[in-house]
Amino acid sequence: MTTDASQNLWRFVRLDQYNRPSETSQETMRKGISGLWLRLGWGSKTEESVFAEKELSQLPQELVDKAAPDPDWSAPLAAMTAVLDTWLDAKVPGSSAQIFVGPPYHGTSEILTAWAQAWGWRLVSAPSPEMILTGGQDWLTQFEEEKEPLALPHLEHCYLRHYDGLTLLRRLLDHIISQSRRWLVGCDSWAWAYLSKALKVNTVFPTPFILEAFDHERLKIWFQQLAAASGEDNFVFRQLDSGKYVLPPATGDEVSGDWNQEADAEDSSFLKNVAAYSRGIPGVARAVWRHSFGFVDTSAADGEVSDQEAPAVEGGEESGQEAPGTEDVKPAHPILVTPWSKINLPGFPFQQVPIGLLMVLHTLLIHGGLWSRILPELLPLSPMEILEYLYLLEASGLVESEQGFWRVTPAGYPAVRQELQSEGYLTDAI
Amino acid sequence: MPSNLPDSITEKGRQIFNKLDQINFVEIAIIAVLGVVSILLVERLVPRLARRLPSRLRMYLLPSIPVFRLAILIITFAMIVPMVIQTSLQNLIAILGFTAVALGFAFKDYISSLIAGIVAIYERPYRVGDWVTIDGAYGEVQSLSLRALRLYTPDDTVVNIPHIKIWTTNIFNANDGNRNLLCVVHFYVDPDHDAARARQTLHDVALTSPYLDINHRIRVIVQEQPWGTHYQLKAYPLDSREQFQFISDLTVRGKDALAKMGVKPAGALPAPTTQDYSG
Repeated sequence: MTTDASQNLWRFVRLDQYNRPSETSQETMRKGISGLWLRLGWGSKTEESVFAEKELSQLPQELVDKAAPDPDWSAPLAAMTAVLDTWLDAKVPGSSAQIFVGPPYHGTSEILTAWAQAWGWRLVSAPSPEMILTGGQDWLTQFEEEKEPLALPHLEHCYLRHYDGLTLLRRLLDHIISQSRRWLVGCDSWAWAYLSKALKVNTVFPTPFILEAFDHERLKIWFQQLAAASGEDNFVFRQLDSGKYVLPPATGDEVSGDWNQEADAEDSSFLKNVAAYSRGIPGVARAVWRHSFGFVDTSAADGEVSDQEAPAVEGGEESGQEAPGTEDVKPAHPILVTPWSKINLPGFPFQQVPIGLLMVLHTLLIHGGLWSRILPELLPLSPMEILEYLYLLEASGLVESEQGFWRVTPAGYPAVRQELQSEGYLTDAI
Repeated sequence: MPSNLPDSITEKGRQIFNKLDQINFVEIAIIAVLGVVSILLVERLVPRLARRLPSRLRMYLLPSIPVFRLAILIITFAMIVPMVIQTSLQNLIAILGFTAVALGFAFKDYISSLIAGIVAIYERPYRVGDWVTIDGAYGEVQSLSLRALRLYTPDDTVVNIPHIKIWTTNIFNANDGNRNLLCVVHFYVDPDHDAARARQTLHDVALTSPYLDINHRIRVIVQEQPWGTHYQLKAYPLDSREQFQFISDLTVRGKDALAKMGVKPAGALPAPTTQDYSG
């Protein structure tokens, strides 16, 4: 872990400076060959575990949630303030609005919401879909009189891809251009791509800011921070096949003596693969990370570390057993991380994906998720067809719903994006 | 049995062709079978592969079929001919000349179609995956053989059209090797309405279609006619195979949007004209 990377974990850059982590050449080759194999229908995606099933047990959800909990999105507030400094200080800003874009699960709206709350800016919630389809005049009246600065974290929820669904946003953009008040706007990168083409919103706002991509160095630091967030448990992450560390163990704990810098360097390809697959999106990387916690080494937790599963431990306190005189040491949970090539991530259940299914996914993405009741208004499909597709995608782990609000899952996002891109659909620039 | 042919011709034949006992018919048969099998494999495997690959690659892969087939035919022919005739320039010219004259008279149109098929490979007036109109038939080019092309119409009918048509008929190619083709949707409405708003609404109808290729420009053409106002909504679908769904989507939602605006259909219809599927 470099100090520089640790200090700059959260940093915003202009959208045109965003650099996505690249794949390792080994992974590119592996994906190319296995992808062609699968497309030709000559291969199976499932691979057998290197361990016998009886030696492994599933990691309890409680531990997964503790090892990689929901992130604290208030951490990047200082970084956001830093990029807005000049704009905030200016008496007459060059532009009345600043916009932050980010792909799904990049934390853009969450950070912006936390920032607005910390600075006391009024948060504007998005109008309902029904309001959007009727022009949203009532919703827009709230911007007519007061001059207080406003934060709108979800621009993607202010329009619908419907012939009646663009009017409200056109009017809102007129407000933003014509008023002298400050606007801080957050927008999903897919909506930004669509709206830049459809309504030229990129000419209304200055070049957007975006949270810098999470490469493997950032992920290493962030995953360590997440694992330590509970303050109660101590997690040790090791590769399922080799037993080598994926993350360096926390300094000063009972397993630190086992830490081997050389071994860490060898295993950094796992995090590089996670960073590249997740396209530098922290929320997606976290979901993939959680997906890799396939099994817990119960034998190690009982103090029976086999030679195959873990290398020799100097100092001997690898397992959850407490050494004499270390009663105050936190319990260690050894977590076995599935090797990258064997992680079973969500994918499409078809070789040839039906166009209706692709349209559902694309519609969900460019709106940052949608209510199922509104989808029939936007798609040339019957409500039954839409539900059928949604349930099929849900069973494949590609979408999820919360009280009727559907969106693409973080772990399924890379597969969905790749399929849409290969079929020529408009995708974001990230 | 004595031959009726003059001795000079028989002698010439002996000079050109190998003796029967020198010709390895088994080897010729094997080569011919291999050639046919290779062509069948290309015709089966390439479309199969194209279906499995992303559709943007389909337009590059499918047109390669006739090129492969021609290459296999040339190689097979080049391997068999030296086994049958005594290879010398003089003999080749004599054989080819004789064959050309004989077949030229007997199968003039057939040969012409074969030659047109070879020309079509290079000039590319149509490729597999293109949407073309030839002699009033509109459809997607499914396959190209050396003699003819197979057109698959929207009415689920296959039309075989000999390549000879390229000498005499205009070929209308809607996408010319690209995935995209322009679709035009017509709306005929009563003239008493706000045309600027209707035009913007129809533009938004196309802009919000899930079939739209947003990278291409949308155009709405308005023309005032004696019977009312004629709107033409022009846009590109993401995939040419979705053109009819795209047109239907634009039509349904366009009618709905215009009706919501209070725009009524034209009272009298324009005189019928010949209209192909491409609009």
